[in-house]
Amino acid sequence: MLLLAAALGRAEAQRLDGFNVIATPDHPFGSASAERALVAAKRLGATTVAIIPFLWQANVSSADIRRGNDMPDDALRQAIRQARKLKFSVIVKPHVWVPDSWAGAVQPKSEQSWVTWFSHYRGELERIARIAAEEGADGLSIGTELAKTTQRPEWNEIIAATRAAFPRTLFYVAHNVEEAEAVPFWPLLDAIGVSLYPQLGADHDKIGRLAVMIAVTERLETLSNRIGKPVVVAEIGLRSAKGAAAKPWESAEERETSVDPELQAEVLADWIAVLDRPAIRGILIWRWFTDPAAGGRHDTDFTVQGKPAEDVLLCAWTAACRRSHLER
Amino acid sequence: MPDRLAAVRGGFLRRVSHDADALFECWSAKEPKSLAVLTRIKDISHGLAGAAGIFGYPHLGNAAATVEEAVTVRLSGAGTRREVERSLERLLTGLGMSCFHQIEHVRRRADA
Repeated sequence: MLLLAAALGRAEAQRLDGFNVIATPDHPFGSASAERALVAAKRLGATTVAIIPFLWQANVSSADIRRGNDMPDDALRQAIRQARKLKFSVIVKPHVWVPDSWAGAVQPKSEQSWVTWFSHYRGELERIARIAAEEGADGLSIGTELAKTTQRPEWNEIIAATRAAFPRTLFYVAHNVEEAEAVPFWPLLDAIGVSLYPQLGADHDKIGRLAVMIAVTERLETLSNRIGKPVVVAEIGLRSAKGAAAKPWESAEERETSVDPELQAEVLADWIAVLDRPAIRGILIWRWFTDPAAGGRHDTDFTVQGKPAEDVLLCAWTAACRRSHLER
Repeated sequence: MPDRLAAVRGGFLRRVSHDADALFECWSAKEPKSLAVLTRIKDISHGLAGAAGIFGYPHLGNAAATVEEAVTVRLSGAGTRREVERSLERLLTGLGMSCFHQIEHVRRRADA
């Protein structure tokens, strides 16, 4: 399999397109059903999966960050092995979970708390990095959307320690283009990672959302040129629900609304079209479940499974539409 | 699989007809040379160029890319209004032809 570093380093190399994959309780990584779900992703043309071990802290100012119990070491190993067996490029992308809040709000209150937080974080990341290295993962994110931490100097040491544990591609995932432009440690990494959930306006306002998408993409290109590193859109998506374009980050738990699978398909098609620039080397959709029966036309979650967005991805990631010779 | 692809391509063409309306509206606007209108045309063409490639319509994609390029040049202070106009006419003609033929084609496939 082409190493991620090689894929990121050469313009003509394989792109890193695929999904952030989440295991559901009845379909753990390694199970036959998870394999069916991953094979379905592969059929759409996905080449890459991001596997997400969660770290946890009780509140945003807590210094006590630790590994969550959703994906113990064995489960992480199993996930990487199963994905590699199916010939996916594998990215390990730890997320920090904070009850009733989110990773971007993490901000220990005192200097001592910062030191403790980084010490714990580094310990957990190094452990994950060693497993990722031993199991042959292709890439590792040193963090995801930790916007209020990225100006801290501790990251330099964390990156050095992680490099010692993980010999392949390292990156960080910024919360948005604004954070990406402010991250000081890109030169120490191999790629610029970013999540993209900007407000896209009213559902029907295609021209308005195109303008937002183009502006974001141009800023990412400028950043990529300035830093000299490729960009991977490590998280992008929206629910298949009415009103989702206005707040693409909003989860089903945050707002109950009716389904709109066509909106999800159209917005993803627009994003993929606009992000088709040399600086952007991959797009990882949020999200895909290990449950092969997840999603469906009546579901309002982010997953694209069983929805029209699957067909958009099939066209974008394979030559299926270009081969179909329907054009007159 | 071919039915799925026909459906998704049909969906693209339906959306394209809205793009065509929006482009026509832009070009028929009172101030067709204004920065806002030209930027709008550029944004629509950019999205269309990318999407047409994804869904397997390279001619449309090329025509849209030509409009985007012409507007970019015009916005930089070079180029002429006529060049933008010509590229836009070609794209709008292509969109009309493509939409008409393809929607008919998709319908025939669905009926078959």
